Formats: sequence, structure tokens, C-alpha cells
Amino acid sequence: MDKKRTAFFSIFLFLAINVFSLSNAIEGYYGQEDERVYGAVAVALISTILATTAFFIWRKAEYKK
Amino acid sequence: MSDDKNKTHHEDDKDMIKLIDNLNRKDDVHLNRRAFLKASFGATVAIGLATTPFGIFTFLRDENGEVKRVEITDIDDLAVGESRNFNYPTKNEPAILVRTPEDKFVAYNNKCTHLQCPVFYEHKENVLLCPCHKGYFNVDSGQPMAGPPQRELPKILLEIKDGKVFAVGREVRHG
Repeated sequence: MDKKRTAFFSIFLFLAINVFSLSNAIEGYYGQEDERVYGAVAVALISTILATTAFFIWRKAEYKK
Repeated sequence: MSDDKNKTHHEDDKDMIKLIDNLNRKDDVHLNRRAFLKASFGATVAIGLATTPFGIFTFLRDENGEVKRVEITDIDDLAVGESRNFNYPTKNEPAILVRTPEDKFVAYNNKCTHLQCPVFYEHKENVLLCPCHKGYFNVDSGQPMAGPPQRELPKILLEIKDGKVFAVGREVRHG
């Protein structure tokens, strides 16, 4: 799979990871499980950074002349 | 022959015109693969950042969550097989202290982990009972035994000193 295609599909993977992390953060917060909240926030932030990187890789390839 | 061909071309053109008429330029510009990916990326970032307030509030809650030591009762005031309600760690969080038939003191926050109804001590069966939906909790561990609750009751840590029972901390998840 080329770089552009990988970047394209990885954004959906990171979207799924973030949905899962948000649900974990909410459950952990209301269940007062601090470790679970911190874990979910860390995963979500890393996933967001990777999604941003993937988006810029895709955009560069997509709008290349 | 030539006429037939012209006629066919003419019909094809007609069809093409129909196809072009059918296009909605606005939709074509806004609903395409690129726009879909951009929207998905935006959702990814929004959902990812939405987790941070939970982390911040958890951190602030930890900062304020100093362990409090609260006197609940005198040992002599609570007979074996009896229970007493109190509030811990804040006034808004009701709890129940039980002196079990084995002469052991246990305490839990007594909001049912199903739908927050108050939980009572059932002396005859030696269980904690939520009457709203018949949720049963083990009095020794606080773990759910039957009914809808899936989580254990938060456990209040106790200390017995000078004939008095003190609440000294809380474990939300335990066992």
C-alpha cells in the first residue's frame, strides 16, 4: 500500500482509537479510576498527534502537482 | 443507415445532457472523498481533545482529595448485626457502617452502583440490599452478588482506636 493510502486509512483507525479512549476516560472519571483516565487521555493525545501527521502526509500527496 | 446513426448520437447527447443536469455543483464540491477525509480528521481531533478535560478534572480532584479522618461512632453504640449511616468523605456522599455477626466493622458508600439508590443492611440475610431493583451486595467485600449492579460499593477504610470507629480513607475499586 502506498504512503497516501496508508495515511488515508490510518485516520479512520485513529478515529476509532479516540472514540474508544473517550469512552474509557468518561467511564474512568465517573468510576473514579484515575489510572484509567490518565491512560485514556495519553492514548487519545498520542493518537491525535499521529492522526495529524497522517493527515498532513495525505494532504501533501493528494495536492501534489 | 446514416440517419439511424445520427439519430442514435442525438439520443446519446440527450442522455448526456440529462446526466449533466442531474449534477448538483454544491454537492459535488462539498460531498466528495477529500471533504469526507477532512471531516473525519476533524472528528478525530475533536474527540481526542475531548478526553483532556477528564484528565484535568481528575488531576484537580486528586489535588483536593486529602485523606480525611472522621469519627463515625463509639463501638458500644453499635450492636452486633446493626448498621449506621454516616457521610464520607464529603457530606454529599452517604455511607453505611455495619457491625457484622462476626463482630467485624465494615463500611461502604451506600449509593447503589446501579442507579444510585440507597443501600441498606439486611440483618437476617447478612447482605446489603438495594430495594429499588433488588441489588444484593456481599457485606464482607461490597461486591455485587445478585441483581443489576455490576460494580462493587466503594469501600471506606476504618480504624478502631480508643473504643471509637474512624473512617480514614476510601477505595473506590477494590477486591
